Amino acid sequence: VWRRSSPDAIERDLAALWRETAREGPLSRALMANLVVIQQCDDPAEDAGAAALEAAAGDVAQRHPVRAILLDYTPGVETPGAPKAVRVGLRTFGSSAARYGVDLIALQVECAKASIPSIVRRLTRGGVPTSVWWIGDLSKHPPPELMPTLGRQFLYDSASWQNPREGLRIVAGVIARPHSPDMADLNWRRMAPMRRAIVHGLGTEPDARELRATGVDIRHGASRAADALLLAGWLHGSLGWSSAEVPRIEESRDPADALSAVLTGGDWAVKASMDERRVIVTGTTQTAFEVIVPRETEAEQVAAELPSLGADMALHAAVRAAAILAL
Amino acid sequence: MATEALAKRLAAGEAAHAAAEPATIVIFGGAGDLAHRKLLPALYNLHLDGLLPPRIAVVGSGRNTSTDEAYRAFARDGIERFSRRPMDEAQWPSFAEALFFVKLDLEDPRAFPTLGARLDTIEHERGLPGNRIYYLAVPSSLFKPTVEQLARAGFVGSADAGPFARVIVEKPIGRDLPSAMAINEAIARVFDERQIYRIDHYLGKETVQNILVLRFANSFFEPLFNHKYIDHVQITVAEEEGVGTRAGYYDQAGALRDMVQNHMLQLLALVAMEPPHSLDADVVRDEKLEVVQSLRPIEGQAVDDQVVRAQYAAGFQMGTPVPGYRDEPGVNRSSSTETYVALQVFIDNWRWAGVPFFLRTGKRLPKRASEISIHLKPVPAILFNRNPAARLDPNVLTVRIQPDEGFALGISSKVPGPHVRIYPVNMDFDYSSTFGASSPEAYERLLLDVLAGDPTLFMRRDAVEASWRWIMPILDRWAEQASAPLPTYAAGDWGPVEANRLIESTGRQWRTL
Repeated sequence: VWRRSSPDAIERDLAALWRETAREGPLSRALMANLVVIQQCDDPAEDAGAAALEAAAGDVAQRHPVRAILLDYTPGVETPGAPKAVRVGLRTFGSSAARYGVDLIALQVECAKASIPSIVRRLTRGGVPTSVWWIGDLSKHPPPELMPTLGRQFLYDSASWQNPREGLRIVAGVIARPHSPDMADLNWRRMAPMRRAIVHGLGTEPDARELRATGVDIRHGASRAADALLLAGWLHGSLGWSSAEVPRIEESRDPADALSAVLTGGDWAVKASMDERRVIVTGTTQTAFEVIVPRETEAEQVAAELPSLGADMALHAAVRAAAILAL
Repeated sequence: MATEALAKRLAAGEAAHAAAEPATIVIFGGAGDLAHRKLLPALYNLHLDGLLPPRIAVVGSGRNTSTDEAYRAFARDGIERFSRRPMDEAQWPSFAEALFFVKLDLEDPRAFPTLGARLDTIEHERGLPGNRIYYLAVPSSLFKPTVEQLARAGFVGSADAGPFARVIVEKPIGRDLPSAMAINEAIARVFDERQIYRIDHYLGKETVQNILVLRFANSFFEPLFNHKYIDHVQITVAEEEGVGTRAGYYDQAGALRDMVQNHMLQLLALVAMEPPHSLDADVVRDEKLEVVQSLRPIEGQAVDDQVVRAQYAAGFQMGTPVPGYRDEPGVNRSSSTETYVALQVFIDNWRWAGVPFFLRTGKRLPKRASEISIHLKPVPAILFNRNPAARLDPNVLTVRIQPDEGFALGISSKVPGPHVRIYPVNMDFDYSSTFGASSPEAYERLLLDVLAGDPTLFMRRDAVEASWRWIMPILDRWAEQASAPLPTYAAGDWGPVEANRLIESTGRQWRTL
């Protein structure tokens, strides 16, 4: 259920919406967190559209009940002002006997970056964690200085980066700040099967005791440069290589190649190749095996990350190392 | 007399408000903002609920010439704009006919006999016994001349016999200890303490009243309310608005006087007080006074260490640019008045030894929100709290005063799935969704209490003066540092970085509202 509103009437209109919906039967308000979804669109052609944004947020809320605040943000306005369009919504789930619902607030904003925090702070609910989900290419549209710190968790997707080096630099900068939020990279999550496959592959290769950067050869498809850098950063950070040790990273000419890594150490080698569905691992002495890549929608990925509060130290280390490697 | 005794005996079995006797409420400043926004809508809602005495008159008075009809229109406008319930045309006439207006210059001695004559007429026509409530909705500079005029005109009878006379005093009661004592003294020369109702509208809010119920009607909270289990307490009163139309008053007052000296210390007292042995007004107020008297003084260098003051600079609210305090209409361009204050406070008694209470209030903060959060000590870092990168959120009991009155208990819960992941969840109680109807406004409850003669929720003279006595060293220190630069915070932020440092230096953080 959606309704037009205005900046000053958001809470009042939401309350009215709850009252009206509750007349149809018992209804509980569910609130585990605030989810601030920010979509920056200075190019209308790239705008995923308000409807898509609302649908995605609703799907997330079904899995992890959040107050979703959707900011469709157009930057570059010289004279900032109040949101030009506001809608409030209520999405309900569950059976009629045990219905629960979540708040949805959608705003179209044309304003200076500096004014976004004032909107977010006004609309988030206290007493529950706030997660900021930055949709779109963070390397192309860096978030405002304060934005990541508005929440306890900052979600992004490095797979969308056109300029992975810039993206890593930005994320590393956020991590380095005092009181930095917990970073959650949806792409890092998708790469978890690759990391698990490598760990398992090395664990079952009897002679694999030492690995240097010179023994690492990473190949990636045209759109997977961020994956390759993160993988290299993960190995670099986890194995404590010096900054002078740089693994080989190459873009594959084969369009079918997604991401692969060959790890060698003299008389042993392990190769892991990842596509959308599985990671296949082969080794010098072991039988090939595969690790399934779970099929998750973006909403499922976000909903799965929201309860993971606390710094992902492996991601932090990988980003820090990858940012250095990217230089 | 026999009839009156019979009525009292019958009323004894009814709810307390049934004891409210017929009375005339005289509002000095009756055409002002407070009457328009709060008092008249509150009286109207009491009327709709059938809680006003069956016979009543409300007489507004002010400097400007007006008529009863014009005053009724003024009241109607206020009700239509600010009442929690809409205008009920069927009920309006019976309320409107109880409204009157008298033109009055409070400093003109000849005016009061005229007022008296009009009140006598109204009371005669409406069958009122002469019980009167005088509401001083005027600047505090007029408190003294007004009560003196009331005395001179013979409007104030004995506290023990005859029709009652009560006076309601609005804040601010003074701007420092000497001026507060002078006001109290002037009022005390005319009214007995039992006749004086110093209003702090925060104490009339449902959730604030619920603090005592929460603590003393539930067996599992009170055993935790002490230094063994509580890590710290935060009290926040955040205002979204700037100084607005109150620049004249506010620029002379500032956040410490406007909020901390009264509302926030009262909230602190309710959270920290010992269990009273009864709910009698003076027993409860004695216990609250104990807390204020137990506050560790903040003096000299401690003011610099434990108190942060700041002023809002230009910023944004809901995406819109807003001016800084010094650019607000009516504010001195070089004003050093604080619009934000944060304090670290200790209560030096057995129960709260070593537990810091963090208080903060400010204007032009991101939203209007007031709450008290009681933070329990963290569990040992042995089982689920071992990972330093993912420390568990300690349990927090939050009392939301406004908006969304209610309370929440934050606990940790396992996220479903194969791994042990802990997530903070709330057990939440919300007044409006639990009890359905909207809560009465604070002024409704407080006006009803004055009518019923119950002073429990009103400030006693000793409490007001104790609060000022504790505040004074802070004001004195600031006066010594008058030329020191004042920290600023951008409008729309949660306060200055100095306030973050204040709490973060103790290993804690401000709670996000």
